[in-house]
Amino acid sequence: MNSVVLSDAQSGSALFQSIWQTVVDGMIVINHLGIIQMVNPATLKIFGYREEELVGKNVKILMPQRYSSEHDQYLTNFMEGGPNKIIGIGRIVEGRTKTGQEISMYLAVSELMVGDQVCFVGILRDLTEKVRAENDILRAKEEAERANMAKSHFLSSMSHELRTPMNTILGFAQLLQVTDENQIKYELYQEAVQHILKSGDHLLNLIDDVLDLSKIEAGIISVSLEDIDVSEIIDECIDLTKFTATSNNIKVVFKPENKGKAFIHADRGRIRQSLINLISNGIKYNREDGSVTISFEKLDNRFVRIKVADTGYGIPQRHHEKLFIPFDRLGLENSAIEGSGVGLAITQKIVRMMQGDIGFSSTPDGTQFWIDIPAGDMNSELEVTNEEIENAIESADKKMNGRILYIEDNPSNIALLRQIVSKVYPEIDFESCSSAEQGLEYIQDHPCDMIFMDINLPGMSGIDAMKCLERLYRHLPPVVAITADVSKLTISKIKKQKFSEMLAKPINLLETVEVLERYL
Amino acid sequence: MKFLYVEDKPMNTRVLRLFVEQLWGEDLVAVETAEEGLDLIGKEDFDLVFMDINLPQMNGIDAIRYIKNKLNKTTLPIIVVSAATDTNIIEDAYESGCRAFIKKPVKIMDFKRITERVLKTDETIAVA
Repeated sequence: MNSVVLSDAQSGSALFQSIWQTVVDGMIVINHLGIIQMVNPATLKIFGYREEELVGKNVKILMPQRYSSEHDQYLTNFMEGGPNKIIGIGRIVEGRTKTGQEISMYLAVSELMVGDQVCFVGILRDLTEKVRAENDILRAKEEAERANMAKSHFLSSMSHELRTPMNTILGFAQLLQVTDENQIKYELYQEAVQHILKSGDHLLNLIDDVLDLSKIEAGIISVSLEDIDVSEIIDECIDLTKFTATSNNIKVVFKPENKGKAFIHADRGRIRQSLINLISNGIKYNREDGSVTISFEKLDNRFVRIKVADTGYGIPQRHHEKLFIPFDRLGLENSAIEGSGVGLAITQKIVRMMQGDIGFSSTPDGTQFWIDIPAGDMNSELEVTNEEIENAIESADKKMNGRILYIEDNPSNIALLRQIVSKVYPEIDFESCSSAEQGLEYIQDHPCDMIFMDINLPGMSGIDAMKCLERLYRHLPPVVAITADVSKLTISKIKKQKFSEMLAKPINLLETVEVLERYL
Repeated sequence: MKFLYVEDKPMNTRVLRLFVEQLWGEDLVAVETAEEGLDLIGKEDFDLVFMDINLPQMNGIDAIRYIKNKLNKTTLPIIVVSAATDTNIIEDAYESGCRAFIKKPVKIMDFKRITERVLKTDETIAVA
């Protein structure tokens, strides 16, 4: 094996050494048999070898197996006057590092004579980063195009869905308009009114759903997280869907399975919305005299899974991936079953916003949807001992009477405040309303000495209720805002109104007693 | 006059039927799928077909092509009545051979004007 010996004069000059050591690209010199003669530090860095591991070895050690066997043959052919595939022509090739990793590289080779020996010097540039960046850009582009298509599809579906009930509304209205008033038959009149109202309702639901979905997509929804008793919220939702269930002749059943209490950390209104969506779907897409069963289980310590199972005919496999696409009602657009086609899309988004997820399984005997929600704090069980309260009370006038109103939709919170108030002021009349609307009505007829107002209420919010109160009444009793959401935005909204005080959930016993004593 | 309406949503059929009765004292034959419509067109003679686009299986535009090419009913006037109002869809509809395109929600006066014009002349009418 002839190895080329480079004389000092050839390889020793300081300038040459300087260049060889510092140049950024890799440089390798091989002889006509492919044996590595010289290799620069940049090359060692690219491939992860030490100099002594490469000098004297065949350069094919730096190539992936599938190419290395060809290289010797190629060199031989070239030396015998065969085709040139690489001299003077830069190319992108695969290289192989010491650890076996394959990398993309740019390689350009020149032929030179050292004395009377033919040698080749190759320069190498590692393109891995560049290739990775290109792939990232490509993936991002595909992602953007997909999102764009989804948006277009959403917009045209929405347009179609909104125009359809409008056709009924305007159609019947026009008919009434063009028919001579003396000739309008009573049946037409009745039919028109009925259909206009029904389509009007459907349209309203659609608009609400679409707005909701758009707000969620745009990220302008805030969630107000609190610890919620799972059994309690399930009971509430069953109650709210009772009417739909009985009109469809479907039984809705809660199977607690003796799992004891479980808590989830979620936005009360949104969980309610999600469960109601799943339960009504279970009711609507069921078989005659079927049922919907709700249950829950704890998944390790971090999540609670709530399951809603129906006895319908199942969802065909081909529809599975389109289930959460808005407006795609999977062929049921024309059936007698009403729906906006947006419910599941919204539910999926809100569940994910609360750091949970949704899924389903389906057979011809029925479908089961589940939502996984982060578990809540078991210790925020709202029980307060007599002792704790005794210690908190300083000099409350126990004989004080009057009326306190608490506007709050969470029964556990109401029970807790009732307990505290009854210990501090046993003679006080403690009332509660579960919505702002009910609260406002109550205040109209019943003078209150103090009002506690939850901010996150279904329907009208606590803030809007306070605005109403400020407008309607010149003199207001002290109103205390109670909020689970302590974001800057919400706090600034609260500060804009004339609340006497603000308490954060979960309410602190000492603070609450102090507030009671201060204002009464 | 014998009218055929291919439309899968019963409410839409109801409204158009009442329009036709109110305007011309006529009735119409209604089917809920393109397939049923094509079947009837093959067997009976209609003066005019009102065609929806979003139908359960075959869509309205493919149905029009079928009528013009396979069933060879080149002179049978077809008016598209649809809530799908994307420009691409409208273009496709005219290309397939419809004489007019009426967007839902349907305005009764446009409906009257366009239908009468299609029946009286050979013109293709712009979208309304």
